[in-house]
Amino acid sequence: MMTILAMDTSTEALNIALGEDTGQLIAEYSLVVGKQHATLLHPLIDDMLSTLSLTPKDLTAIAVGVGPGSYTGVRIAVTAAKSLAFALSIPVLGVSSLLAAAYAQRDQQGIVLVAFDARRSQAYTGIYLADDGRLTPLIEETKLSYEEAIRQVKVLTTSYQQERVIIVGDGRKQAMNYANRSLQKVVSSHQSMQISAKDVFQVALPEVTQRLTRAQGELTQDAQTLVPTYLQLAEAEARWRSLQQERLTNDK
Amino acid sequence: MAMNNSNDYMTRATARYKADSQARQRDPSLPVDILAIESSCDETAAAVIRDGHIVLSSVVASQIESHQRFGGVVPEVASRAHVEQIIQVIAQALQKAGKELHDMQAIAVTFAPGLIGALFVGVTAAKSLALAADLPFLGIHHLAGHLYASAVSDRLDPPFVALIVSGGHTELLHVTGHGAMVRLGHTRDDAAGEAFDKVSRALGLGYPGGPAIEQAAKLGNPAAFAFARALLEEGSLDFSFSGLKSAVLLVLDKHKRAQKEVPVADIAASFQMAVVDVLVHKAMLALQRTGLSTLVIAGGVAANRALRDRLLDVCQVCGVRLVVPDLWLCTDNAAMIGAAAYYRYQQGKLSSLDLTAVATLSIDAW
Ligand SMILES: [Zn+2]
Repeated sequence: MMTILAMDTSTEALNIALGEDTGQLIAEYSLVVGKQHATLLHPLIDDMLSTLSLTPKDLTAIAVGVGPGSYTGVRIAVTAAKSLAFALSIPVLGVSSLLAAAYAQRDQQGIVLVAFDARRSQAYTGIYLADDGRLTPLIEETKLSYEEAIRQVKVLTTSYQQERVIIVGDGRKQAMNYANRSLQKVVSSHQSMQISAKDVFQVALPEVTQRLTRAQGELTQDAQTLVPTYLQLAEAEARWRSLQQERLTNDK
Repeated sequence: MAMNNSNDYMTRATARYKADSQARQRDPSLPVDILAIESSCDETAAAVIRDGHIVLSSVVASQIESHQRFGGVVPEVASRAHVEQIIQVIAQALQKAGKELHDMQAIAVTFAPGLIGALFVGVTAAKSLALAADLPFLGIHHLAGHLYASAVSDRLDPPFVALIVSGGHTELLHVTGHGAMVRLGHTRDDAAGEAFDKVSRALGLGYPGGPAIEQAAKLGNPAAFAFARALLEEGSLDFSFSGLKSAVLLVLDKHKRAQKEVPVADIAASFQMAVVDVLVHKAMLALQRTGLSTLVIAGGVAANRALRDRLLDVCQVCGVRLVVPDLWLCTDNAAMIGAAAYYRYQQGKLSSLDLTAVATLSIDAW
């Protein structure tokens, strides 16, 4: 039996799950714990495994939501995932937290907009086509103003001839404000958890199964190079870059 | 109903600890190898330390260059770099030591104090390695790490007085036993290293300020400016460096307003002298107060030549044994964390998986 540990801490919820390579989910823990991800993640993994009479050595792969989301939150799951994978010499796979959030809507028909609030009227945005149980990304995930996100959704509804739009994520209310003005059939979907670890597990599954055949060297490489997706420069970095830009233009 | 798991992490790690201890009782030549991790500020570091003093490997990935353009450490930039580098650094430390993770007796990590986001990365990595490999795990106070940097080159037999001076700390400690300390004094405002950084920036000497000021001061006259030494109340072992920093800025300002050339070297030398005077004065006062005759210095500022030379002179005159860490061990590294962890390990003070990073924690509360 192959056992895969999945986790996501990019929102205020701490989510972990265990699944088998057949796609069967074995266990899932979800806690809304605010800023305690760093404290609770490992005790929960330990508890989940030992409750099932497993140890970390029984794991065959790790899947992790790499964000975007809370910077600190994302770093905790990503660091844990790459460290566990390194220590156990098993594959680790990063999954977009936006895609994982959209995954719960895969059985719908229409355009799925995932909007994680990024403050200042902007959202980390992913747009997907949900069709016949399949989910296809339509844009590269990015940070957009709510207005621009809805504008892009509108264009995509036309080009993919879709009527329904489903909006998820903690930015869905702000997105709805714009959507109601320009779109017809919009649903804001409240998911009890924005992201569940079982969806991270499902999204990762096909690729994880492939990686199980990888050589040791490549596995170590994966653990070493996995990084969070921030979709945004650190503030100081952004300021510094725009200052450089100004200087360049002033010099001209 | 609480489930009683007989196969949880703590049970396995404790069993491992006991098995290793028993094996060492039968064969005392068996070593204690600890993989230590440090990420409290802008260095991502890992090391393998044997028996608290033999450095099998020490890897430090410095971020200085990425922070230089900001004139100081930017926490978010530091945290991002830590996540990127942490496994590379750990893998390198193990490889250089010729060891595998499961060869270790324990994992140690700095959990306090420091930049919270940066600490989270090291603590999370350490907990993951410990959990995966069933190894005992030890959360270490960063200042205890600095303190034990000297254990690598010297015997460190408490009791002694310790002076820890770095970019984040200025502390005088009475170390009564391994891991047991009483704080005698600390800075009420800027840390000594912080003052170096701020003055260096004002003088246009760049970041980090310690080495920059030291270099500039070599060509200057330390008596050129009589900056006031803040000794605080009679007999106080606390420090204050923000007044000194302001005094330097005032002199700078006067020169600029009068459109006179700024005597950078003289200011650097006079400022450095003022800091050294205060540090030495308080350290001597602490030795007198405790009646002890060993002084251990630690931290980035302990690399300062002027401070080292003066302490050597004064300690020789007073018959005090001065313990100074090797230069490479003064700035942040993981070897010192592994050295401190060894004593903690010997005492069986294992951490549990719910240990988390703490931004501020007095060392005597550890
Ligand atoms: Zn330090």
